[in-house]
Amino acid sequence: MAEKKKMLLYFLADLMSDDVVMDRFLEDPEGMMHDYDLSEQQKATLYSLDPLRIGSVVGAEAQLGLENAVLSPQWPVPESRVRGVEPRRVPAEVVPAFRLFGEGLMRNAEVVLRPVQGKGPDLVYVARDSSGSFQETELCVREMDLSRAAPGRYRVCVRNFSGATLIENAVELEVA
Amino acid sequence: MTFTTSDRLRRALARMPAPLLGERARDRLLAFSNAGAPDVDLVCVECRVSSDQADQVDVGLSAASHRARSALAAHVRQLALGQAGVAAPERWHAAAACLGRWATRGTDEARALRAVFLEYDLDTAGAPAADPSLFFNAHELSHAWDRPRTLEGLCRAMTWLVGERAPALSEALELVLGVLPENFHLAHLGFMIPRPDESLRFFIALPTPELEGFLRRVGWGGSLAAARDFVGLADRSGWVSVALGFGRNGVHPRVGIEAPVQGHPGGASRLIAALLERGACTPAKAEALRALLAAAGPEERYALSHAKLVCCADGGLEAKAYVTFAPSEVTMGRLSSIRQIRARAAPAMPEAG
Repeated sequence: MAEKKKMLLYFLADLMSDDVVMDRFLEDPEGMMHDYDLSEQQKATLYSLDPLRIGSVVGAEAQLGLENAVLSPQWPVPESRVRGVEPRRVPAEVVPAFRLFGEGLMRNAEVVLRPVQGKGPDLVYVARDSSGSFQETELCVREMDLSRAAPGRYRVCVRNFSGATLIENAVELEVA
Repeated sequence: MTFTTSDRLRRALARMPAPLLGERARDRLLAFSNAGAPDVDLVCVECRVSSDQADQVDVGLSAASHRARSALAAHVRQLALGQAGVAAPERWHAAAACLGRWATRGTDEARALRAVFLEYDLDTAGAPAADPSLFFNAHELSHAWDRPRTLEGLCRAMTWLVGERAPALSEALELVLGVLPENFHLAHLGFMIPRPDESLRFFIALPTPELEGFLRRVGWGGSLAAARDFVGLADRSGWVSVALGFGRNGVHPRVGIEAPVQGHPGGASRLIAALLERGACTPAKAEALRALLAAAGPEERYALSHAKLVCCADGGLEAKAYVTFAPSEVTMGRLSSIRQIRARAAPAMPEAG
């Protein structure tokens, strides 16, 4: 079973159910999150105050917790998905480092930016850098050139390699 | 009402249609459940579905929660004490010690091994319980882009579980890690303790286009030509999962391709239909599987976990279905709206975005 620490889900649950925890959080957010061993990705998600983004992470943790604990032997492997990106809002220029957080993502995967409004072609980049484990993967696109991207919202999708099924997610990038 | 694993098995037996389970298999499974199985999180029954054969059935016991870990550890302790009719209790000494630590919160073993499974091959007449195979979930130990770390972690886990037999097995581990493609995930590792021709089994996810090259590099002499359609069925976002065994003669001739229900459009019913269309499941067994999955009651949950196509080096194929039984009373508890955090934790912060 997943440890209680290291999960945003438990942190939020304690925060909402225990006023002492809430008081400590308001007094020292960083210290409190450190006590729960939250990762930089989890902290950034919380600080975003974006319900969709927080919900996505918490949902993934809940699913993993359930899968790992009881409901499934997680056999053979969990599904691939993107849980978050950093940054989430960028100017239409070259982005030095665009990071994706998720699971089951491959090094050299294609990162596909699909206009939410359905206008314009997909923008495709390759994430040559990767780190972490299967279930906590971080991919990075270096020098992502968005100088010709139309302003607007883009759905961040991934294709693990050219020709693989597109992994569609609710995660978005806004090009200002 | 809380059901024990044995209760769950007996109740499932009563609902398993005859095509899935022949009389002899039914008798063995009943004897197994009557002997007292540990109360684990999940019970899995493996059924051969590509032929009418129904005399062999294997049963798996999976533990991840601490309650189930304690039960599984106690069961393995019995094996090590020679109290369960196993052939060689000493083979279980290291595992018993390891799983005792694993069942204790906060230990290295508890953190590293997320789940442990025992699988009993109930294919022999006679005593209901013999040596099971032992598998562990290696999710915490598999780091595709850091192979030295992966090797070190897996060697440590093998030493915990099989003691002095670990060095002999690590040779296969090094071979596999050495020929895996850049992207991989070693999901589970199994010690095939009762099998004379197989000692270690790997469950690995790798990019589908890399599968055949990997099998060649690792020394498997067969061909997947007859299984390509099934490989397509098993593909999930470009990953395919393979079960690969090693014994004293090197790579085992049987390789399994695993198609999970998870991620298959239409879920279990569509996966069963796809197996049927491909001749990997007989009509009678497809019907029986559907009937079993529909038979779940308020106190139990039946699910098809995955199907496996076993490809033999000589070209033979065999398909299996893995049905899991779990209590349905498991719930997460209600999560309050995260809007409360937004309102209470940071009332002065500007709108995101």
